[in-house]
Amino acid sequence: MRPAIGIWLFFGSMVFAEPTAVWRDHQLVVLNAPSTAAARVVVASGTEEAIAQRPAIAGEWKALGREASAFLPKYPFQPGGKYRVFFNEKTKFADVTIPDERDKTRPVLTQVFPSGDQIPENTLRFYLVFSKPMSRGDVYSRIRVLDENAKAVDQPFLIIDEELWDADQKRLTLLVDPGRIKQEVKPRLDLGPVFQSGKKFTIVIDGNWPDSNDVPLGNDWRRVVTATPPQTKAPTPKDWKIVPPTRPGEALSITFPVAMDEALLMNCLTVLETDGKEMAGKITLDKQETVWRFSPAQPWKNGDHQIRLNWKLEDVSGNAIDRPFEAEELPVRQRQPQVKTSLIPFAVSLR
Amino acid sequence: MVRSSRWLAGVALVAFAGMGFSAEKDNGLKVGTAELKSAGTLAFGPDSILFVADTAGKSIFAIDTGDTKTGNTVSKIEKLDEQIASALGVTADQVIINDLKVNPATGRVFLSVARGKGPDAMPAIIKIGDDGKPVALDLKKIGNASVKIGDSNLKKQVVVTGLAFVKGSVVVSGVTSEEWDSSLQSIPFPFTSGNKGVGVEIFHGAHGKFETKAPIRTFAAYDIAGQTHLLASYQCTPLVKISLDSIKAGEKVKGKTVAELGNRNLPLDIIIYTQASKDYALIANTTRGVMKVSLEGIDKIDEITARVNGETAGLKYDKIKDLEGTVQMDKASGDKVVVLRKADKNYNLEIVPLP
Repeated sequence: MRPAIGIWLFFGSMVFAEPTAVWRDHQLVVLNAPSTAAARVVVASGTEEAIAQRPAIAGEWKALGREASAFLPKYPFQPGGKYRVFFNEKTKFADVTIPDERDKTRPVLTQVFPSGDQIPENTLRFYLVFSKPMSRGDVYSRIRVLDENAKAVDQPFLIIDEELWDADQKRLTLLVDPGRIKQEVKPRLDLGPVFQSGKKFTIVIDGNWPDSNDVPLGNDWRRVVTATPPQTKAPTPKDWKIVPPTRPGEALSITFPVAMDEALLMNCLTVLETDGKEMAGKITLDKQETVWRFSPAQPWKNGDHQIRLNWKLEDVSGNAIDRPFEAEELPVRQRQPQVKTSLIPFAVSLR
Repeated sequence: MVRSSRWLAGVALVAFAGMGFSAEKDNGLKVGTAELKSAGTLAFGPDSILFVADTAGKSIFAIDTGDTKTGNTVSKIEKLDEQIASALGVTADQVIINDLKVNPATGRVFLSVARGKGPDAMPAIIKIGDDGKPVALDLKKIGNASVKIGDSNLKKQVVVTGLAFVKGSVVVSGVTSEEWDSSLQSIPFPFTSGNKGVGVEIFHGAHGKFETKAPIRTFAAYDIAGQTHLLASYQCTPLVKISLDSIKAGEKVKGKTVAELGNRNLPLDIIIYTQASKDYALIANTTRGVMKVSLEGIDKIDEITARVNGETAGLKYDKIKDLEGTVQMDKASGDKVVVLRKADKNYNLEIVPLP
C-alpha cells in the first residue's frame, strides 16, 4: 500500500465513519462519535416509536481515548437485554445486545415440606426448597392445589405481596389462607377448609417457573396428598419419645406423634452437655418430620444431659408448645426481649 | 375527624421546641449511603422523612427525601411501570412496584421498587417529578437512619405488611416465614440503639369462642373518640379496629371486627379522609374493587360476633366503580386520591378526586 492512500483512508475514516456502539470489555462502548454530549442510552424493547420516546437510562460517559467513550450506567445492564444508543440525532442510533453469561443450568425443586403424603386438614405452612435462587413476583400463580376432580382450589394460599423468601431466594414459605383454617370466620364458613379431611389433593408446581437467571424448572412437579383430620392440640414433650445414644458416635433421637414444622425443628432444639454448654453437632430429620436426630461433633460422654426446647416449636398446623393455633383463651406474651424455653433431661450411659 | 395532619404538626413542634433556638431538627439521620437491600412498604413521617421497610435487610430505614417544597403534580402517567423500568435500564417485566405513598407535605408521589426478580434485585425509591417523569433517589448520598427488625436467622424472613408513623413512633406489622406470629412493633423515632420499642401480639376471635394470633395485612391510624386506633385488615377478616392505647398498658390486644366486606377478597390499601365533616375509609381490594366505607358510628358499633349469613355486615359501604383495577393508593393533596391501576399489561398512575 502506498503511503498516500494510507493517509487518505486514515482521514477518510475520521471524517466519514458512522458512529457505532459495541459491547467491549464488559462495557457499552461508542466508537466514532465526536461527542457524547447529546447521546443517550435507552432500553430497546417494544415498538420503534416507544423506543424513540423512552427516557435515557441514568449513567455517565467516560472517554476512552479520542474516538471512544464508555457508558457507565447507574444500574447494571440486564444480561441478554437489548439497548439502543441514540447519537446526536434521533435518526442515528446503534443497538447493542448485552451477552447473557449467567449460569444456565436447570434449577431443581429439591424438597417440599411437609414431606409426607398425609397432611392434616389444618396444615398451615409449606416450604419449597430449590437448588438455585428463583425469580420472585408471581409465585402464587405458579402453585396450584387440585382437588379429586383435577379442579384448582380457589385461592388456597395467603397472598403476601412481597412473598416469603429466604435471603438466597432458594426457600419459599407458603402459608395456607388462615381464613380457611380458623373456625367460625367467614372464609371458612363459606368455602370450607382448603384440604378437607379424607380427600385427596394434588399439589402442582409450574415447570415454567424461571429461576433468577431465567431458566425454568422444566417439568411440572406434582405430589398427591391425603388430608387427615385437623391437628388441634399443642405439642407437649410428654408425648415425645426420646432415645439417648448408647454408643459414643450414635445419634440422639426424638420421635414425635405428629409431623413437626421442618424449619423450627432445625432451630428450636439444642443439646446441652453435662456441664450445661451447648453441644456442636448435626441435626437431621426423618420419617416425614416426625423424627429429629442429633449427631454430636465430639463423642458423647456419660452423664446427665439436657435438651433445651424453644417454645416457638410448632407442628405443621401452627400449634406451638403451650399455644395451639387457636383456643378459647390464648396466653399473652410480651414478645421482647425474652424467649421462653424449657429443659428436657436425658442421661447418656454408654455401653 | 381525621387527625393525621394535626399530630404531624404537633410532633414537629415538639421536636423544634426540644432543639431550643436551632432551626435544625435532630432526627438522627446521617448523610451517607442508605444500605437498603430491598424497598418494600412505605410510610411518611415528619419533615418529609420517608420510612422504608427493607425485608431483605430486616430493617426499617428513615430516609430524608429532601422533598419540602410544593410543586405541580401531573394528573395521569400512563405505563408508569415501563417508565420506571426505562429509568432503571431494564424492561418493565423486571420491575416490581412494592408500594406507593404521597408526601403529605408536598403532594408528590413516591414509590418503592425492586429492579430485578432475583436475590440480587436492586432496591430503588422513585419520586415522580413535576414533569411526570420518575426519578430514582440517589441512595448513595442521602440522610438516613435505620433500625433492625426480626432476628439474624438468614432463613427466617419478616415481610412488613403495614407501616405508619403514629404519634412519634413507627408502627410495623408483619408476617414471619417460620412462626405463626402476629406481633405489632412500635418503634420510637428518632431511632436510638437499644430501643426497638415494644412488640405485642394481636389476637382475633370470632364469636368470642376461639381466638388466634392474627397477622395484620394493612392498616391506617385513626382516632376514635380521642383514642388512637388502627383500622386494620387481617388475612381472614376485612376490617377490624384495634386500640393502640392498650399496647402501652400491656393488656391483651384484640382486634374487633367492624365490617365484613365479602369473600374471596383481601384489602390492599386503606386510607382515611374527611368529606363534608364526615369520616370515610377508602379500601382497595383484590377482587371487589374500591369501597368507600362510612366511619360514622365506629365508636359505638358493636363488634361482629355472630355468624354473618349474608355477603356483608357491619359498617356500610359504597362500591366505587370508577376506581376499579386499583392496586395501590394513597391520599393526595387537595381532596384527591392517587391510584396505581392495572391497564392491560401495564400500570397507570392517576390522581383523581376522592369519591
